[in-house]
Amino acid sequence: MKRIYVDLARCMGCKTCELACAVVHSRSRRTAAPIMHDLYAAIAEEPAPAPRVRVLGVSLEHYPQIYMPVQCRHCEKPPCVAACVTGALSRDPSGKVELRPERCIGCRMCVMVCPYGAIRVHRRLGVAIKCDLCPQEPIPACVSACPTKALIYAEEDELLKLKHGKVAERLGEALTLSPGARLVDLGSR
Amino acid sequence: MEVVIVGGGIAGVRAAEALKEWREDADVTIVTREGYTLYSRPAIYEVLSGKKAPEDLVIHGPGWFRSIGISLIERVEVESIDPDSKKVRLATGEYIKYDKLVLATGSKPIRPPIEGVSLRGIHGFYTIDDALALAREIHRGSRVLVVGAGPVGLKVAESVIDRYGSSVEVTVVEKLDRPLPRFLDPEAGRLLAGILEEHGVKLRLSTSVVRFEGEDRLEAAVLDNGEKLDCDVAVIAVGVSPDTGLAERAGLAVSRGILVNPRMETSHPDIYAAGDVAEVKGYDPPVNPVWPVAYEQGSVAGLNIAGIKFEYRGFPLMNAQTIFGIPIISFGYVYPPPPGSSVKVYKGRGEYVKVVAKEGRVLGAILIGIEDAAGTLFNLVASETVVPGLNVILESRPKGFPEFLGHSDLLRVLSRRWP
Repeated sequence: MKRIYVDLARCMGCKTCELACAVVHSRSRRTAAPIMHDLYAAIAEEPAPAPRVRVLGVSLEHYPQIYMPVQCRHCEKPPCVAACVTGALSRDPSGKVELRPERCIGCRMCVMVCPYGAIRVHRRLGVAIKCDLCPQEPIPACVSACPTKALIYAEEDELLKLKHGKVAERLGEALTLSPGARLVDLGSR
Repeated sequence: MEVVIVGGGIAGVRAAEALKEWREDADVTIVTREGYTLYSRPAIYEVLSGKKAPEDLVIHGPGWFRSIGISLIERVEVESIDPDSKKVRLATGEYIKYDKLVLATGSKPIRPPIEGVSLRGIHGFYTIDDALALAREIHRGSRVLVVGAGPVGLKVAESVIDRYGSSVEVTVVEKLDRPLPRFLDPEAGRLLAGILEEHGVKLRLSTSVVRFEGEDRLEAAVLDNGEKLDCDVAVIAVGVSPDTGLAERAGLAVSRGILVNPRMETSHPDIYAAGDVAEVKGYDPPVNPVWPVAYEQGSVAGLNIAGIKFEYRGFPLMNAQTIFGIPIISFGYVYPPPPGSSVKVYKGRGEYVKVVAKEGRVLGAILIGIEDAAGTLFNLVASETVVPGLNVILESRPKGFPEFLGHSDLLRVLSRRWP
């Protein structure tokens, strides 16, 4: 199953993902239209559409500012599903954690047990909201909207390949940058 | 392998489901005394508020049980267990043989020995049937007395007001000095009391009912301070205790609940217990009657029966609920704070966050009117994680705190010395 991953080094905390997420989950969303074309209609809605992804930022003295977009991780053993007292949350056979809002009573048991703070209760609607991986879109809206490609939508093994590629790339950069460095052919083993 | 499960709540059903996942060939029978298959007990107040019909609360109907090959015996009590011949006797007189037995009999509501407690108009609130019976008796103009300001009592009070507005009179009597006394400190209690009163709930704190009065129906309740409250309906919600009768009669080791080890094994071979009825030796709290615990313990029992060695990891005391739209979340040790711990309180408009910490570990927290950091703090408590520099973080309350605390990656970054 494909999941959303974050490249922390790339996130600059612009919150475009939040905006795109809110728009695709708005009542104004027209499938297949470019997401931001529905922005103005979505903004006018009452209650305003809510994002399922949240960009957290932390600043501590002596540390660089860190930003991180957080959305449901679709855990393998989801604590929210175990804690859900109404059966509103369940894990489908593909591994996706699904929410049926019509069953939700807004008790916040799931909110209490989620290690990522990725599920919350909509104040006005009184039911939980969380990332559904945008079933109506070709890829999740936050991923397609991210201007720095900090969000990655991939299978786990694809991600590993990507990670290895990145390590190699950064290693390459380090080698070219250090004076007197030369590339060594390790050969294929 | 014949497996009999007594109790059709979440612990029993999870035991059956987890077992079936690993041992499809196991012959599993659930015996339940209720007339509904697995339903949402914590949500029965929705029947009282009129927002849901009883069948809407059912999580898995009979069809689901059939589809994964679990047999169901409904509306039947188990009368006794014979651990020597490995049989259970049903109230119908029938016997069922078992190789493994799971006791998931849950809790029973405590019925305090108050004079007049069996008058008509006095209700318990534990099953769908209880909720239906209560809903039939309450209408516009009713005067409702709720005994106990715990999680159940408060939801009853809220539901009645939700449905009938200011036409009803709802009074909650609590023996201790604050609502949700097990989960809140006095200050959070005052905040919640204010929220309740603002929505029309009358509170009588630090007092208890000494007598119910009435001819054959309830007419009034007399408190220990002499006050007399006229009422038509009363709901007893002073808490629950493990339903251990069956286990005791069978000679199993029972303290407050049925004693089990972290594999949910009781003192008798081949008999397991899980959920509200179980008492896990060496854990705090040993009896923890809350849904996620029952879910986990049921799964653990099922896995061990399937031959997979698996241990219950333990949960802190925990409660999350929404009262008149306000999140009220509490877990771990909050009040009184354990010796040597430090307490940090953050207050905003209608918001209250209290974090109890000791030696780099978060021991517990209360969150009212705010939910953002609940999950991360809860998991720090449950996983007993030591957070480097926790006190500094709690003191300085950097921007972004405390949502970030739970992210292990970020903690690693933060705990590294930055040049």
